[in-house]
Amino acid sequence: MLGRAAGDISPRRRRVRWDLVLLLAPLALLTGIFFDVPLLNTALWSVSDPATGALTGAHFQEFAQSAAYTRIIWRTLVMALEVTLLTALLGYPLAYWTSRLRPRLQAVVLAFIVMTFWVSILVRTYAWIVILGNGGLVNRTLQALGLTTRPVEFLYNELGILIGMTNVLLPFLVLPLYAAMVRIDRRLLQVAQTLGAGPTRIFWQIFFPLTLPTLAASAIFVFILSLGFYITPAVLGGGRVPLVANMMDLLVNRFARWEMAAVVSVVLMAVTLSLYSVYQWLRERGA
Amino acid sequence: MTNVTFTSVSKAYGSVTAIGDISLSVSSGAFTTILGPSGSGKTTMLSLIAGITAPSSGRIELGGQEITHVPAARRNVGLVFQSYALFPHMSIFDNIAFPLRVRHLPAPDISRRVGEALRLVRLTGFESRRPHQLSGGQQQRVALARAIVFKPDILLLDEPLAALDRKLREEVRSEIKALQRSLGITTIMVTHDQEEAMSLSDHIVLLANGRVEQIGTPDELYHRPKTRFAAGFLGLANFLEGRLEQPNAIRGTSGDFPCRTSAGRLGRQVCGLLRPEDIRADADSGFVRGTIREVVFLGEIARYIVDTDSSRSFTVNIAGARRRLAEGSAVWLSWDPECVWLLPEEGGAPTLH
Repeated sequence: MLGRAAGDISPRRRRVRWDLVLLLAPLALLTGIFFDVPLLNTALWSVSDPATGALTGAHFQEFAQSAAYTRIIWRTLVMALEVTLLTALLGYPLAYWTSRLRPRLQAVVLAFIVMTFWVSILVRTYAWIVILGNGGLVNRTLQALGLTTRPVEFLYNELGILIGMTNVLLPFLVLPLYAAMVRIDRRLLQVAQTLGAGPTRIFWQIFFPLTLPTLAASAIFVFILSLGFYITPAVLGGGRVPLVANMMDLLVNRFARWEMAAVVSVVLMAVTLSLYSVYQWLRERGA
Repeated sequence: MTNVTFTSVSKAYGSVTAIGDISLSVSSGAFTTILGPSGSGKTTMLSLIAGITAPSSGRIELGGQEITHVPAARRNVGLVFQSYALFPHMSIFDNIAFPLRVRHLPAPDISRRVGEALRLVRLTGFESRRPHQLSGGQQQRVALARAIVFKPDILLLDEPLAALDRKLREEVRSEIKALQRSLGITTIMVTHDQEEAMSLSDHIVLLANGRVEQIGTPDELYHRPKTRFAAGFLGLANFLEGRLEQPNAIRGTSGDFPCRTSAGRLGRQVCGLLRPEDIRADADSGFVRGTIREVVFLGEIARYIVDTDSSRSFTVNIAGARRRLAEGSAVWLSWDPECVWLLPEEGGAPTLH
């Protein structure tokens, strides 16, 4: 009797759901053949001799010893950090302001924010040239106002890339933050008032800490995305500001150094994955 | 000690009037309940006292001082929400210490007072836990501790028991009562539950449609209600309608209902209230004859729905339900004429609440 009762409680042996296997098979195959295999291949290239195919650590050694690679990786990381900070500084107040609007206005503002997804990134990037160029909207306005006599150089330097990338990435921070802010129970803030707290204290001790996990998670997300940016730096940097993605383009298309491109890819992926694990951890904590 | 006074206070949200022209006074040190159905404006009343919302017009005083437009943070009012509203990212200690830190108390004082508050709600040892690690009843008590730790002038409770299951509710109910008694703090509770209101309160403010229906002790509201709405909202009511032909009987369409009155309302149309527990049911004699249509067994009592021969029905509660009368059997109903309460003239008319 006892044994049978225990058997009833224990989970039943899992049966194979063949219908599900069948439904998932195409996607699994597609990812396996066109994503995982090339990725492993890339990893393999990074440690094998292009001529003989023998395993070697020479490429990683070259990468570590060459100042050019490390400088570009470093520059990319700094750039990504700058983009992340600027996105957070602009995005947090924007999300906060949006979450405080009347519901109908919130929908309008959110539509404006999401709208950036509807326009191709290429079009948007070229639009910045029109706006930020020497004869562009911003410079003409600045000159008309007499704030500057010579046009300010926004383009073909890091400033241009920073502006362009922040514009592209802003929604990735604003939307999750907005969602987190709307979810905060209004009564927490009201009760804090009745306990005697002023608006500044309520913001920093109640509101901000409650949005912090989401802020951190989306900031890391933005950081990861900005590490691999190609089009925006290529167009707005005018090829003068080399970042990782552009360097890989050069390595593959100009110098045919596939093995070095593979090394850079592996390094970039290692950085991304470790950041991603932090992102996941933060997301679970925030939920 | 602090009493709360409303002087013709109104609050409208857009074109919707939440409360209209309310004047009342809540006495110091007492336990007052604002009772009403949902949408009666009771939560608005609480928000107005707490300072979370401002009235559209009128004047609110606290301990003799006008606070109509004083922000919530400077009112010194302890509030417990139905949802507890504990800060999820803070420990229990930090939650309770919050109002003390806001007041810049020195750290040793904070520790001492948080410890005292936790002892008062019997949660000593829970300092380092997070709210989500506590049960509903425990969270409720933390919210209570946080609301009283800074010695507020008034304690406001918003449906404090609604989220608890029945058994826990009775436990917390007596705890709240004991706490309020021992601290002597002026307490205002909002609820839609008449049983909760009756068992806890010194005074009940009955609201309906944003207006005060009646203010009084639980006993007054139950036994001497001013309106049909009040009579029906606090417990079950049998209404005896008719003309007061003699000082001791209401002449209805189907016969006389004995009552006793000294008021000079002879010849007038009246409405008498008779509570179900004041009615007796006998087999052979009484005032009204009827047939038992339905029997509801409630443990301590049995409730009978009795249809009279003149096609009206009475609700009758009889204690000691061990031997019940059978459905379909004929009974005579009678009562002590003293038990019939005549509603004041203006309250006797049927209302649309």
